[in-house]
Amino acid sequence: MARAKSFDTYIDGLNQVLRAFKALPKEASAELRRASKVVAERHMVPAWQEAAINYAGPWGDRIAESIRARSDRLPAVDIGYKRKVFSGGASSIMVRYPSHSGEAGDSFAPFQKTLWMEKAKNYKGPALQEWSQAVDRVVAKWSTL
Amino acid sequence: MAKTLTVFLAADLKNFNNGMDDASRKAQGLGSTMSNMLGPALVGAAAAAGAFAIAVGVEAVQAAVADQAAAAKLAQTLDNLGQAHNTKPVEDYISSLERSLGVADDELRPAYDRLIRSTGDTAKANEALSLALDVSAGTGKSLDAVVQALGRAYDGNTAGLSRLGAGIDSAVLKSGDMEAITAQLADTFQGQAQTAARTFEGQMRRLGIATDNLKEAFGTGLLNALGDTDSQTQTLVEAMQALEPTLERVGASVGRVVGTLAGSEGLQDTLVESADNAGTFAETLGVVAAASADAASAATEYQSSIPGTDAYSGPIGQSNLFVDALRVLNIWYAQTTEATGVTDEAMKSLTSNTVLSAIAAGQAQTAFKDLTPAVEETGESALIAAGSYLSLYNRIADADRAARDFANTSGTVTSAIAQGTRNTPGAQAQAAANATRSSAAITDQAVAQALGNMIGRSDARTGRFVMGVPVQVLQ
Repeated sequence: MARAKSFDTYIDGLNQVLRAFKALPKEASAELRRASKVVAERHMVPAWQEAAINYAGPWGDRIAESIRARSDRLPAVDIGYKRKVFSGGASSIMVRYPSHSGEAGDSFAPFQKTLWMEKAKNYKGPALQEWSQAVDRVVAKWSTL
Repeated sequence: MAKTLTVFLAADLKNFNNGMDDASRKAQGLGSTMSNMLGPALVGAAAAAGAFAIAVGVEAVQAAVADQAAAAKLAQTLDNLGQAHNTKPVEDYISSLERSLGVADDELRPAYDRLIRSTGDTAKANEALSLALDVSAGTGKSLDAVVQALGRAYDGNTAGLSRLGAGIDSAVLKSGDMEAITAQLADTFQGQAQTAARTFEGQMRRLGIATDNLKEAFGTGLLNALGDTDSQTQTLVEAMQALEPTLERVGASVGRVVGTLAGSEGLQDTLVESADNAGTFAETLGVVAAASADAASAATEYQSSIPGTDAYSGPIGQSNLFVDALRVLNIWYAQTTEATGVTDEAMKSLTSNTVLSAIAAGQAQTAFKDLTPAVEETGESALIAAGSYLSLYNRIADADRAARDFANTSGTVTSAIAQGTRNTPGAQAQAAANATRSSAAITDQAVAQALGNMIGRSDARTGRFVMGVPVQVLQ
């Protein structure tokens, strides 16, 4: 599926850490995925949903419904569905960016610049901390087996 | 095509670096190459005074060290505020502002430091810094002044903002509502910094900053080439400290050696001095020999005064005494020579380092030559850009001239039309008057009636048809 990516923070050497998991059993990676999803559900999803509901205007509720945790070795959330959820036939993907930037494009909808996607930010510190603890835990568990 | 957005909590720094443009990569590569080439030269040149290497290297290293110190200070502030995990994004943000707006990171870091202390939040500090840059560009005030005022406003004191001349409503200022204040500032000054950066002066400033960054990159590369700066620098300092006494001892000799490298005159001086020294040594030897003879005579006298000792008595005995004295002298001479040999080895060693430094400096100059085409290319690009800018300026000037000409021409045409309009009925009237006064009167009346009908209009309010401006206006 076509996908746009965005990153909250940049960590030097992160790829090496993830690559090192290949040396561990597959179950280690699976456990890291589960732990990462828990972190995403606990920290990222509520923060993004709150940002969408409070700042994305009339489209916020539908966008918030489309935010879900993703199964990955890094905590991640997916935002937007292709499914049509608005009366005019628009999907949550279609209103996600215009409701942030105010750039309506060809749409007649009264989008405003809300920058709602910049409002979700306070979760980064705790989420990173919890995820790094999860990494330590998984590595400690599987490297000694 | 619409896509699902995936937000990852983190990514490797490489993902960020992949976004860097080719020019930046080339610049970094160049800095790395230069540091590899100049690194050894600088170490040697610090002693051998390789002028080029020191001129480039010291400045670059100083810039890199200052940059590192400023970054460390900001990182410490972020750490103290519990925002340590945002250090990298903040540095990236500052770097992007520096490159896009042409404001040096030396200014941006203290500004960010001040704002993050007041806002306690990197997102707010980002917005505030961006706003401060716009206000600074718009008002002409220094960034520091604007940032201090904004910082104090975030702390609750908005008095400084009123003195910026930013045109903020006093009621809004008194409310102390920073969202409202910043919104008003943003409305007034939005895009000013970007506009300033696009001017010719702004572009030149950005070019200058890019050059400074290149220098800093070179200095950083050099420090990295020396190893981990914290530990290796201390090791280097200690090593240099241990070297001090040795260098002190051979300093004078080194001066002579370096002097000889500088030219034949120095070599001649050194040879003359060495000859003088040799003469002095010979004189000393003579004195020693004379002293030995004196000692032999004294010993003979002493021996003669002591009964039963005749080893040095008589001509043969005196000869033996002199031979023994010379043997002692030979031992002393051998020891002195050995010591001199040690000094010579040290000198050779130092000379070798000096030569190595010179070679390295030569390599550095080669690297500099390699750099030259790139600089020339940049210069040509700048020249082309300047040409384009001038061309654009000329086009704008032409357009402006054309607009003014058009305005003038338009005015002339309008005047001509008005004149023509005034003249024509007059001329016609005159001609008509010349032809027949009565028919002219009838004609004028008819024209007036016709024009009156033409500019008559329906009143929008009453719906009644009303006559327009009478024909006299046109006459």
